[in-house]
Amino acid sequence: MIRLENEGDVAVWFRHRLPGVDDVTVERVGRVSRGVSRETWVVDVRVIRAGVAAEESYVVRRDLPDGTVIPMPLREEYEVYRRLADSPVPVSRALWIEDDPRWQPDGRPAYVRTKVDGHWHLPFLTSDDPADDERKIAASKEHLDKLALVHTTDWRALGFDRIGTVPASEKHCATTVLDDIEAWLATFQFEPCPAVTEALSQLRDRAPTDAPCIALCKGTNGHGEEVWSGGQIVALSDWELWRLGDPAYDFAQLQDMVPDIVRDGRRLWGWPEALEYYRERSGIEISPERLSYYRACYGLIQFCYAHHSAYRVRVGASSVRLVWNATEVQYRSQLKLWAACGFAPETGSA
Amino acid sequence: MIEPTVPDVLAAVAATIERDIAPNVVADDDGYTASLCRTVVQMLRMARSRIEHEESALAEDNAELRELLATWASALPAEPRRTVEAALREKFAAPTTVGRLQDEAKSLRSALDTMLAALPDADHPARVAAREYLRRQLERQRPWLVDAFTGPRR
Repeated sequence: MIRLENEGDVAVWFRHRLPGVDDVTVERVGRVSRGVSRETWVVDVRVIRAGVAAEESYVVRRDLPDGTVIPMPLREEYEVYRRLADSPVPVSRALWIEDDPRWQPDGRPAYVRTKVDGHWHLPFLTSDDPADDERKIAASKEHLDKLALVHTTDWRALGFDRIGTVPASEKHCATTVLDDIEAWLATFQFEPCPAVTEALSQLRDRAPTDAPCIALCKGTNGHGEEVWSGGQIVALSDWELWRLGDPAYDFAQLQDMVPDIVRDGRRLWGWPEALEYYRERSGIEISPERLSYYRACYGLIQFCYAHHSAYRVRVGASSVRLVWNATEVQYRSQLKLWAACGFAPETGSA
Repeated sequence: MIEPTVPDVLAAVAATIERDIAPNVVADDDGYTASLCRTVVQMLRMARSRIEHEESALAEDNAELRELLATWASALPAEPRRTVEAALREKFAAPTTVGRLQDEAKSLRSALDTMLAALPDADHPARVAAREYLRRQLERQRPWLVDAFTGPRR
């Protein structure tokens, strides 16, 4: 059996799978600490192609030994990357999914994609130094540009309608999210959660019907999720919560990339400016009402994956990261729901 | 032997990992093992707090929910009303007090699900009362799901 931690085994595997190589030597295999939902490994190799040597790096993705946090199949994640490979959306290139049991590292399915050079951390985002304002706004705009690119991608031409739920019309974008959440929960919910029942009921009652389009949406996005280099996003990562729907869905999951900047009483940047900039770039309007609605929906989505973690633990998983999701993250998802449904606890500002 | 208690043992294990083990984790794995140590320590803190608070929190929570269901069962249509009343009559036989309280909580919360689903009007007084109960339920879990944590979880 191929062992992922064994460099010699990985070299044999890559020689077998990597297209167009005469030889492969693995320099290093290491697990990446970031990312809780799946395992991410980096493989640094020296390859020889047509007699020419080159240093290259690849990423191996696979489920945790005890299953996933987010109930999205590994193959679906691979298919998202595969479909985006020839689009203008910057992503790493998915190369193959290892579905042959003889070649699966440690007997577990995995897929391999190219590693894009860059970094996820933008330290200046948390700075309050006015000297960093320009960089913060530029980074925010770059992120909005990439979201606009995702949202205006021809998803049907790329085949996303074959791997995801397509809302019946723009009017149905919000209720389709709720339908998918209920379908997810029906497969693994093992414990009653009246807060979720109440939230689902309220959110169905007030589902917006004015989505301007059905777009490819990334899901979790923003700081910590994308690969940056030279002030630009060179790869959009983490597509586990992708869907087809209202672009407001993505803005509700945007992390830290819309800094509020006010200097001497003058507003330089924040949500109104960011949404206006995005509208100019994409032609898509994001109303505060829809943004607020999808933030509430994100509480439900977070509950889904946290409760799925609890389900994995219940059926025998023993990963401490699953336990963390099943406890604190599940609780925090309910804080979001309770805040959105008008009955937040007086002391609950976690 | 009564002491050290389970919370004492958990506290000692957490402190040892945090103080003596984690700083010496030098695995060449991009900090993954050290990150796991942080998760383990915080989960131990959560478990310690839960052991201390869960029984009283569940007892209080079940009593409040039982009263809520008893008050509003009569407002429900026949079928969900029967479900709620059956939950209120149910007896639990788990061998430990916390186990019994947990089983009772699952049954009563399931009955609350039934009640909420049977009342489509979000402004119905029973739904308003249920939301107030849910708010207090969240507060009761705060000691072990918020206050227990002292540092990053990963």
